[in-house]
Amino acid sequence: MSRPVGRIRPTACAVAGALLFAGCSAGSDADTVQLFAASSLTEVSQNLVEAFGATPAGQDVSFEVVVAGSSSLVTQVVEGAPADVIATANLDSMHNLESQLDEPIDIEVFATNSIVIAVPSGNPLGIATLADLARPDVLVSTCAPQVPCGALTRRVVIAAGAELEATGFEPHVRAVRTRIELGEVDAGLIYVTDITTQLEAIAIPTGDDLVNRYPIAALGDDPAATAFVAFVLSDQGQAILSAADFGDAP
Amino acid sequence: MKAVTRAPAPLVVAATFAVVLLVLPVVGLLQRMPWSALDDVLGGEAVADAIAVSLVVSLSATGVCLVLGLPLAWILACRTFPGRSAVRALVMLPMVLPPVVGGTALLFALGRRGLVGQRLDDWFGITLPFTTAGAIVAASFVALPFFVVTVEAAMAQLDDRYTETASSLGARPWTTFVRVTLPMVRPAIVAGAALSWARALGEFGATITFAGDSPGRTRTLPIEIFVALETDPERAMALSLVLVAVSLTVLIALRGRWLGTAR
Repeated sequence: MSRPVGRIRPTACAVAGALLFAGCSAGSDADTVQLFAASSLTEVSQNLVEAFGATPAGQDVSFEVVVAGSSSLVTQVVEGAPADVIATANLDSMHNLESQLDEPIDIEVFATNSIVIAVPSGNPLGIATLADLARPDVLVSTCAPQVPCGALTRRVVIAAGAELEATGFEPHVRAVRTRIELGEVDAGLIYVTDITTQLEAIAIPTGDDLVNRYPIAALGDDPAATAFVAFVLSDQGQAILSAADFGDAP
Repeated sequence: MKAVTRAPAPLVVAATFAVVLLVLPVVGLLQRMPWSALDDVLGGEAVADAIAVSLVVSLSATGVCLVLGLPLAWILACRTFPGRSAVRALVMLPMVLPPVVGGTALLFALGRRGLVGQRLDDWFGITLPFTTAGAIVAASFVALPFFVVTVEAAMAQLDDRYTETASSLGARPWTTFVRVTLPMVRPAIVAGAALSWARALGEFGATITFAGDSPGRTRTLPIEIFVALETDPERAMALSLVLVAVSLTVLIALRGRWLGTAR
């Protein structure tokens, strides 16, 4: 009879079962803060969580950090994900969230970030300006216009009077960076904070004036969540963000 | 009806939950569907582009399945050779592999810096990521096993006497394959092609990982849905309806062939 189909079934069922049970383990305890953070905050959010844990207010608080593109985070929260704190990469995404929530939320800007051209170390194609990215031999990756880094990229390109057709769009800034690091594209537009040792940053003249303001908000009334937001806005939290190349909150 | 004894209650309860798990998401989708806005959403230019890319990619992948999958199914079904079961297991790997893993693997094999992709770029100037050809490769990777498994099962059930008779009457192996074997497994070829086409049409993970999201080149309907979900959930729902409808149509058309009632 159909031998191959018969053989595959136990494996498929085991995989399905494992997925089912993995899905059941997620949950939110009273002393566990679910922190939803934009992709560009991946490492710095861990640093902030660790430093907060060393303060009196942060003792006995454990964190679950969920990292994704800001627009995805907003969609997840609107659809009922149990986030206690959300930090996104621009004000638009946070206002979009607020408009879909029943209760008003307290939004504070805690950092800024700007867009640079990122190329592999050594800049093999000799890229100097946005105009170079329009060359037909240069493959360029950018964030999709729907996510904050993509929205800012679009504004920067327009302000610079350049024309840019991306080879491919990515759902969040870290995916753009990966495409450059893997060599699938020759250049990309990413946040200055996302530059790694494998990459070289080329500033865009108008880039400094055009920034994304990163808002943070506690959702609900968990005291640990509000204490964490206060910590991020404190001098100590701001120092951690500065060390990660984020700009000061205005 | 076959049921002479009553079904044990635990089985009925578990089976009911299973059906709920499978059907509930579709009900949820239909319940939130913006029926009145359907025309506006589905008439847009971006949607037409995505549908065109999806059709080109899925039909080409089905073509790849026919051209490469048919010989493979025949060899697996009708020839014994060392390592046959290993080859069969490898062929089915993409069925159980998460598509994103498949996409990552494709990237390291056929990407611009990949094992083979590097040579393609150096020697021929061919790069697959961000091209429609790359999307076809990704779709073929996930769809091919469905075709091979379906056709191989049918070929393995063929009675050897037909091909032996053809040979004894002087038909050459190629003639026997084309004139005897193929006509007898035609229903399985149709079913396999339809299944692999449906799988290719719905492909997302391997495509976005390997071929990326490039409007008009690799942005298929599922990727359009993924992008739309970020900003315009209504649009995502309307597009999802298109794929649900297509999938249901394929399943209904194949009822009896794949669901086993004919066997």
